[in-house]
Amino acid sequence: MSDSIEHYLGLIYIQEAASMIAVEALKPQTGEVVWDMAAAPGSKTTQIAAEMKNTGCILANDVDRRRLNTLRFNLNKSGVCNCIVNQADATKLRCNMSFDRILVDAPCSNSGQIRQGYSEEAFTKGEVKRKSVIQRKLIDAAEKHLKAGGVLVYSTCSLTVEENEAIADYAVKKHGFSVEKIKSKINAHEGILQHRGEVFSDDVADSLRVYPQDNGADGFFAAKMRR
Amino acid sequence: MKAKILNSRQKKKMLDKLHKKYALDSSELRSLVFYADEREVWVAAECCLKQNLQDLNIQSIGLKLLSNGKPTIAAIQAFFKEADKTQLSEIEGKLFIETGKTNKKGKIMAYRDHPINLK
Repeated sequence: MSDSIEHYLGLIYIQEAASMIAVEALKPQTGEVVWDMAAAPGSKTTQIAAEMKNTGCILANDVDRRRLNTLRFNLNKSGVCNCIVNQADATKLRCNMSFDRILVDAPCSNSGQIRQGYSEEAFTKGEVKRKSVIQRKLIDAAEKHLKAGGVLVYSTCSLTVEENEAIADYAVKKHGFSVEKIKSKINAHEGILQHRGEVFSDDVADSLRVYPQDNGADGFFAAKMRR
Repeated sequence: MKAKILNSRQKKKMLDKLHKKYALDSSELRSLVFYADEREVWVAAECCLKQNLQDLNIQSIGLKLLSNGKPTIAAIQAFFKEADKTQLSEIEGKLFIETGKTNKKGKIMAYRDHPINLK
């Protein structure tokens, strides 16, 4: 499919089935202002732009300059005109913009992509802990810029509870978010409510957990939250 | 942003020029804002340019339409209903739009609405 003329022209974009849940849950509408906090390489950004019919505004943010080149390439190829590409650490964004919807597709240990290969460095306890600190900071930053009644979708391609339900629970308890159920056509499970003696808010059960064996796709986690 | 936003008259003039030069169907571009610096023209959704962008480290806004007066590859793919790994000259563009043919060999080309069978 990647050799097809439609792909070359940017009329289609190839993305993991499970990864598409995040934008499905976000449900961006035409004319809205949306922040994609960790946008590169742009799979979800192009999906958001398509949902918004190239209207409104997406702030596509990434900290890594090299990854921004890939992001811009994919946005251009897909004919995206409603996007501002910004290089910044999303946890330290200095601007007055406020958003109708925010996607935190957070950097993670990628353990849901285990079918594609195994990275020992990514699966260490230390690495998972380090990522979970960044993930909490991203939630804090998102909360500052989200409009009242706005939607925040937190997602990872990780399977560890520390990077998923624990972060959703943090958002609920620290910032008062409520978690909403995500309707998805793919096979999925509810969020886990207890892990190693830690008990999470009941809300967290409404988050969505996908294992690689569920659909023959990558593992994924998404929590749709509202202020 | 150093680039200047084109007013409606300047925008219309540019769309007419692009139509004349490349038979461009401007319907998809009408709703977009055009902004330009000396050599480049960009298009973006109006909402993007209404944001308070002062403190952002912006790498780009919208899509680059023209570079040195010629459509960029991204713009060709998005708006010009044709695609190639290299940009088409005016004559090649007209030929392709009118007939679906090009003198260039070994390049992938297509109409957006009429995909060409590569085999």
